[in-house]
Amino acid sequence: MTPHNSDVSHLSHLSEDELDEVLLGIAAPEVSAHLAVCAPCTERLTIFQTELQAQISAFNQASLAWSEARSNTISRDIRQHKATPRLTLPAVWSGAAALVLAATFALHTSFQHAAGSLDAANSAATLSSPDAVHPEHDQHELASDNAMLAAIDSEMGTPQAAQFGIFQNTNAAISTQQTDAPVQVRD
Amino acid sequence: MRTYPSSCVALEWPLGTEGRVISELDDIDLLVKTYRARLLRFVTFSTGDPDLAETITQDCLLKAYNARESFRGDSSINTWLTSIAVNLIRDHQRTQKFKFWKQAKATAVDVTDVASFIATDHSSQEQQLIAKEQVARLSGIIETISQNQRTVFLMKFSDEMDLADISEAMGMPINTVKTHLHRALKAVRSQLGAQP
Repeated sequence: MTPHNSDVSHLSHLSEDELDEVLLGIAAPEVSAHLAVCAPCTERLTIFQTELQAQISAFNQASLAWSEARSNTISRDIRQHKATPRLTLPAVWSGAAALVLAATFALHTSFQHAAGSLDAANSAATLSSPDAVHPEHDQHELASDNAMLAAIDSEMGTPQAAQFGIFQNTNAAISTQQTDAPVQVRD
Repeated sequence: MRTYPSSCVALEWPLGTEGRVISELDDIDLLVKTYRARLLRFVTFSTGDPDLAETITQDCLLKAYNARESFRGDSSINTWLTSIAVNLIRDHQRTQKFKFWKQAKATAVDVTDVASFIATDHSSQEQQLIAKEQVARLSGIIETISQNQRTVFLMKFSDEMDLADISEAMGMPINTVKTHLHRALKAVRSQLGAQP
C-alpha cells in the first residue's frame, strides 16, 4: 500500500496487484477492510471492475451462444468420432528418422540409377565412336592372339610339359583347331 | 456396490426404473448436451482455432466417456473435463512445434462472427453495437496474451472456476495460477486502457 493524504491518511492506498486480488476474489481481509473506508480506492476499483465486467459479460454471452450454435452442427454421437492418434515425442522422432532413411535410400537408388545410365551412355558412346569397330585394329588383335596361342601350343608340346601330365595330343588337337580357325574375340 | 460421486444426478428413467441414480458420465448424450458447448468455447479461445477445437472437444468427451470408471469424483465433472481438454491442447501444441507450415491464421476465430451472437432482445441497436465492440476488443486482447495466461483467464472469468479447480485442471500450484492470473489481468487492464 502507498501512503496518501486524505481522511484515511493513517492507511495507504491499494496497489494495482491488491486491486487485482480483489477482482480475482483472493484479497486479504485487510485489503477488503481498506476498501470499506477508502473512497478513492473503491472508486478506482469500481471503474475497472465495471469496465472489465461489461467486456467479460458481453464476451461470455456471445461466445457461449456462438459455441452452442457451432456445437449443434457437430454430430451428437461422439462414439462415432475416432480419437485423434496421440503423437508423442518418440513417435515423432521415429517418424522423422524413418523419413530420413527413406530419403537416403531413395537418393542412393537414384544415384545408382544415374551412374548406370552414365555407364550405359559411355559404353554406347565408346561403341559408336569411330575407333570402336575398326577393321585394321581387329585384324591386328586377332593376329596377336593367334601368335600367343601358337606360342602356348609349342610350349605345351615340349617334354617338360609331358612330365607334368599335360596331354600333348589334346593340346595339339586344340592347337590345330585354334590355328585352323581364327579366334573369335568379338562379334 | 458402486458408489457415485457428488456429480451424480437423478434422472427420469423409462420402464419402471424411475429415480435410478446415474452419473452424467454414464449417459453420453447427457454428457454431450451439458458440457460440449462450454468445452468448445474454452478450447476454441484457448487455441484460437475453431476447427481444431471441435476435434479436441470431441476427443475430450470420448476420452472422458471411455475413462468414466476412473473418475473418482474428487472434483466436479467440469473440472475433470477441462483438465482432459488442457492435456489434449498441450499434446497438440507439442506436435505443432514440428509444423513449419503452421496455418493458424487460416482457421482463426472469426471475432465478428462471434460478436454477432450477442442477444438482440431488450437492447437498442446502439447497445448491441457497443456489446459487439466489447466482444471484439476482449477477444483481441485474449489472443495477445500467453497460452497459460489465456487459459487461466478463460477458466476464471468465462467458466467461473475457482482457483483450486484451475490449479487442478492446469496441473500447476495455486501460486503459479495466481501469477498467471495477475499477469493476464494486468495485460487486459493495460490494453483496455482502464487503470484502477
